[in-house]
Amino acid sequence: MNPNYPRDCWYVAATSDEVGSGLLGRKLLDRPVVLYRLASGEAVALEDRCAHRAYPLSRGRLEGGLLVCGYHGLRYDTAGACVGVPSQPNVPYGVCVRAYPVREEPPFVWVWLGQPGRSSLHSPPKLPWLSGEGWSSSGEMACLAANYMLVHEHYLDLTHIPEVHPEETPPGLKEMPALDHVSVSETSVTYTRTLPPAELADWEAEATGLPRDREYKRRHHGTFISPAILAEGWQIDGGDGQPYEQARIHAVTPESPARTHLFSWFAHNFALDRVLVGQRLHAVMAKVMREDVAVLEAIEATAGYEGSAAGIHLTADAGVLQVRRIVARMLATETGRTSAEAGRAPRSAPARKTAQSG
Amino acid sequence: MTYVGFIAAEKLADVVSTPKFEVEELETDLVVSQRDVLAEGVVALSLDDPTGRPLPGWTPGAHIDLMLSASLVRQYSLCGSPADMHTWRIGVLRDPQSRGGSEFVHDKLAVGSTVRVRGPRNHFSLVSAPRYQFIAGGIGITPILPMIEAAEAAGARWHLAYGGRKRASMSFVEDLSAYGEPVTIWPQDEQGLLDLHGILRNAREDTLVYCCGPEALLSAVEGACASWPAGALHVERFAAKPGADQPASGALETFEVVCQRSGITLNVPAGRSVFEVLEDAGVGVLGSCMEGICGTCETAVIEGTPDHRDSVLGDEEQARNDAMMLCVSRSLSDRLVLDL
Repeated sequence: MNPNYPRDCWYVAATSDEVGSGLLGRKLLDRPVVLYRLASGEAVALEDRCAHRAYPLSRGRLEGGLLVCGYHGLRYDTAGACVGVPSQPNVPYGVCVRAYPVREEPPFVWVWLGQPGRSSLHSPPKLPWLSGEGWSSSGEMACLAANYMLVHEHYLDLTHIPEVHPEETPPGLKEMPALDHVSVSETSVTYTRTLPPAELADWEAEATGLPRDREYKRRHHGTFISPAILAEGWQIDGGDGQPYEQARIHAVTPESPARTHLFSWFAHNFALDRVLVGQRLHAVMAKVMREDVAVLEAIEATAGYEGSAAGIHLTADAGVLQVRRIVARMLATETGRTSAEAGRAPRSAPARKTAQSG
Repeated sequence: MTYVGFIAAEKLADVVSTPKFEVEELETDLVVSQRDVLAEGVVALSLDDPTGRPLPGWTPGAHIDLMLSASLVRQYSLCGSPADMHTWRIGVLRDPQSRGGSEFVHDKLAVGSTVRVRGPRNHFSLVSAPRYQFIAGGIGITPILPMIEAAEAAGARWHLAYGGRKRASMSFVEDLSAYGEPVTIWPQDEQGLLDLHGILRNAREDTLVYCCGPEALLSAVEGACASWPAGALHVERFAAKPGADQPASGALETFEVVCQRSGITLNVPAGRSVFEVLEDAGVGVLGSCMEGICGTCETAVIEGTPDHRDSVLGDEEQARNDAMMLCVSRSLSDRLVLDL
């Protein structure tokens, strides 16, 4: 299928920890990218392909702030300009690899792979749960064999929880209620749902330390912030006036039409002094993520995104349908088309044309 | 502990009961953080979240609703920078002929005032192109400002023709003049009406035309662009296009609407809009202006021929009959199948 991801968007390229003194090669939105860090601490992203024979620059080395190709030794500066060729005295004029705008807000390094000038009109979203005071967070990454919209649509419709994650589902909660409110803006979709009172699942009891002999109200909310980020919040009403809040941040970065880098980060705002709580929550979320990945890869293998998106819609899909409209509009604006088709699954322009005439 | 989150994600404690399921546009209370007089009769307001949370993103051409009272809802284009995640900026012309919206904004909203806001939404999106011709009349300059910022950032070529009654009534003249050659400031009392013929004489394949301003300007630009390629002209209206609400020949008084996804079939009687009928039946639809100007209720049409009475879709878009505005448009065929 043709790529169905907007390019004019800040995507997470890597975690801050991943970008160190070495070279990290990663395919992002179909482009080979090499990431590294200068002595000043600044992160750099260049096209991971030497201008000479297309050898991946990530297989080379860093030498005094210059990136040296591991094949014939061409040297590149941080702007991607070739500044030296060992086998000849002169530097070929105007030879360069693409340099991509980078912003870092730990724990993430963000990259802009769209029209370079437009990067200044956008900012990576603020994720205070991952950096702000009062929260403790950790995360897991995966590169899964599924289209990025399958990932978004999976987390936009959590009525899958009792089936896919039965052990983590609060006991007695037979089904996950559909959303009770969906709120839409030009670029975002926010949704909320209220769960009927239920007892604590094992992991909830261990993490919160709340007594198990009672039922608790829970609320779930989430925001599709951009094609790169879906943020979710879970609140358990402990009955003591203090909501026990957890946030799950999914950074979703397409690698190619059928592969996606997923950075799922998990934060909580209680028991911050108890390290074991953080470890327990991390283990639960890592397990949940593995189960999610297995589901998504099975859908991709069976039908791909277009096949999945052509399926029937349920009440629970209210958020999904709004997000599809937003992404379809973004794609239409980028490709220079005049209007998006409302409510259709996002596809690139040529694919949509085929579908229309078919 | 302070709560951090995105707008519209309330605290658990705020929820007293499970609300009825609804899909709505984002609504939130913002605070006026700055008020500037830009020109004669024009103020700019900066609107921030009272708790400092980031606001949802938007793109050039977007507008918001100010919900000044239950019966006073007005649309204003965002004229700040889309890169600013904490402030939305609008420019408002005091219009003595208005129905009270601009008077309210000028007289009642001061720094510190709270105002209910809905949106943003965008029916004037800046489509990617190598070259743009911007045409603004008076306060119609507001959506064009972020478009110019975007065109500059993307390295596109552009020209702005900006007309107004007189120089002193025109906002942002100084900022715009700094661009130099691509900007033509055209005060009517000095130079007469904008030379649209000169600006639009040569239709160009590589150029998109974006126009916002009073109805007379929009009609004149639509006329002058008749020979341009379909889809080249984009206009933004803040009032319904004259005559747009008139039924086309063959318009039916009553017809049937089929909501394909929901599996519901409804009859639309005379005197009731498709939107009202759908809303009463509990079909989740979004709507705002109910006059066919804001584009919120745009819905894909799978089968049937709508009688378009909106001011949002261009002639070519209307002729495609693949989308309609539920609040004003009706039907030419007995049956409309909608993607709902």
